[in-house]
Amino acid sequence: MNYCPRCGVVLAEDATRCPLCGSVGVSEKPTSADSGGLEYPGSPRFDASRDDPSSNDALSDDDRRRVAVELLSVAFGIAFAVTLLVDLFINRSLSWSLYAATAIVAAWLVGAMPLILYRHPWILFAVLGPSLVFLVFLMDVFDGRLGWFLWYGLPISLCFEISVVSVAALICTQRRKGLNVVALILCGSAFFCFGIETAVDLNQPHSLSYDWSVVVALALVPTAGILFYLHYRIVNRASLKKLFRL
Amino acid sequence: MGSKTVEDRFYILDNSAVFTAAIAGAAGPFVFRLSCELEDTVRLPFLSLALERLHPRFPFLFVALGHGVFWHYLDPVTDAPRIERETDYPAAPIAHRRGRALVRVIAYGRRIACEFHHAITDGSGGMAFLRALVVEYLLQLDVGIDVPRSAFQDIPRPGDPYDPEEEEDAYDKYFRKEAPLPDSSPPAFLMPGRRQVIGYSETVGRLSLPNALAAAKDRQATLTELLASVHIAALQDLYEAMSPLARRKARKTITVQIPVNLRKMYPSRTLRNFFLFAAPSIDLRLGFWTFDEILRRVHHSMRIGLEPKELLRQMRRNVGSERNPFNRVVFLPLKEVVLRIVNSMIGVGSYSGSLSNLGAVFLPEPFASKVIRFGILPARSRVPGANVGVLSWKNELFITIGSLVETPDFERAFFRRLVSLGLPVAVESNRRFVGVRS
Repeated sequence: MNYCPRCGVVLAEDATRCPLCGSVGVSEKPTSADSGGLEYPGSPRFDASRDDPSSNDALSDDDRRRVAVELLSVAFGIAFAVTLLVDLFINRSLSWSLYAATAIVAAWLVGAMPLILYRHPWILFAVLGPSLVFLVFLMDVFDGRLGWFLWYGLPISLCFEISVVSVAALICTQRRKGLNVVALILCGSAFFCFGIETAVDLNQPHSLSYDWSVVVALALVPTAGILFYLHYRIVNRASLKKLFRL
Repeated sequence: MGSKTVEDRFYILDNSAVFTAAIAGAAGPFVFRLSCELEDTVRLPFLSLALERLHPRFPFLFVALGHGVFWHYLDPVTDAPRIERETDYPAAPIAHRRGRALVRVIAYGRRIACEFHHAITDGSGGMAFLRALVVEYLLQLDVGIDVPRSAFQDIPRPGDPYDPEEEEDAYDKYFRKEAPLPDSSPPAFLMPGRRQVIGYSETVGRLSLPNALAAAKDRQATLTELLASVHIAALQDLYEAMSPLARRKARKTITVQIPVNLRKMYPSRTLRNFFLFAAPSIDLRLGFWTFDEILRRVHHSMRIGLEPKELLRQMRRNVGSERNPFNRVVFLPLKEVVLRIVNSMIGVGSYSGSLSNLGAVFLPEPFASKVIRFGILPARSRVPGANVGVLSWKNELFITIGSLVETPDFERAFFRRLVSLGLPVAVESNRRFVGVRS
């Protein structure tokens, strides 16, 4: 007979793979074929794998996250060190590498922090928010004086963070995700453009006037509206009778 | 799944389903499992064929949850459902998405399991489907093909005429708006211990049915009353084992919810939800309760709880709020928030655990001899931590404790209590694989 080694069921004679899990069928009866009671496919494998760290299946989600953080840290750590050393070797001082190293640190924070703090989104925001603003601040002070940070860097960074967090929070509240996610990103982008123009205009001698960000919003917001409509009314294909039943 | 939905047909959720669909989440997905262990390894092509033949007979089970402006609705999934692979942990949440039926049929080794969302049916309805599926599968294997139709009794067959009464909302049928509201319950004691995030522990105690029935009869109680008393006594043992400080902080009422199958009191052939709860309780401020005291109290509470007029009061509260014109026009997202709050106050927060007794499962011969046992696993529930499911098959009683608590203290206390009543129990568990803390 033709068995699935994972599910333990008998497959059709001409089936090469199990339609349930995709495993290749075997002719010899596997131990899982006698499974009943309280046996589950992952359980023995899960247990046995504690002694077999090379097995990817053995890793729990927490383990996988830990491995990913480790890999990111090693990769970015090497890049960080190499950047600084090359700059030191060529120029006998740290110059351009400070900017590159800051960007590497920012990339590590954005990559690793969500993995470390995935259960605590608000702590993640509390860590990433000030950190990224601080890194922008560092980029400004590397040349020895405070120039553009307070007038441009700080407001634009804050506006970016507010846009990202708002869009992410709204996306998380959506039960069914699809075109509505794209629509929310478009709305967030329009808001960010408003923020950039506000920050730039406030630092100009002339008074605050919205120009290009309005054009961007006029393009993005109606597009988002169409996407919302498609998502909730057309793609869902629900009849009015169902939707509005009282 | 690639399933299509039929636009012009949909089901309205019954009263219990309105509640469960709105508040279902990772902490309480309202997905319970019924399973059947066969003598031989499951033959997948035959099981697929049996399911394909049977699913038109149960259209109200193969439905997906839709979101309306004011209420949820159930969309029929017309494509033949597929058998699914077994996962590491049972009774996992079912995603509420278009085309995704709120039922899973799973094959693994010698086991056929069905997992149902409470939005579509209760234990009785689910068991009716599983029995029909097992019989149809065995018939595909040429087991019992010469059995006369009359021997199948109440087991639906694919060719049988469809009975519309099976999909009726029986709550609505028996609702009486003049009934008064039931008394409110105090917040209940919750078993201590950290809850697992992904895993779900399943522990089964197997004991002799005649011995269990005799033990109940000796104490002038029913089997459900005896087991409910054991449940309460085990929770009291956990309370007594807590530190004095933890005891002082703990809630002082132990309440166990006992689902009551209303079909026995209000004639209905519905296979959708039709149950309410009896809720025996003890107050720990009155001191330590002996087992006999608990049993006496449970016995009388159950007598009162099972009074049809008492059940009418619960129906009045549940169905009445659904019929309220103001509640009807509230948008669904707002309803969901309100129902979650109501659930935390008078639902999950007011009981320490639940015990569902599905009763005796029966199959005619020669099908029965091909089945080793049936099983019931209650839905996960993070707040109470552990719930109990009971059924009997042939001469054996199977008590399943589904627990999200990391340590097996409750299971130990429950089965020790049973043993102390002179009922030897053989216990098996999947716990050793879920990282029990030493």
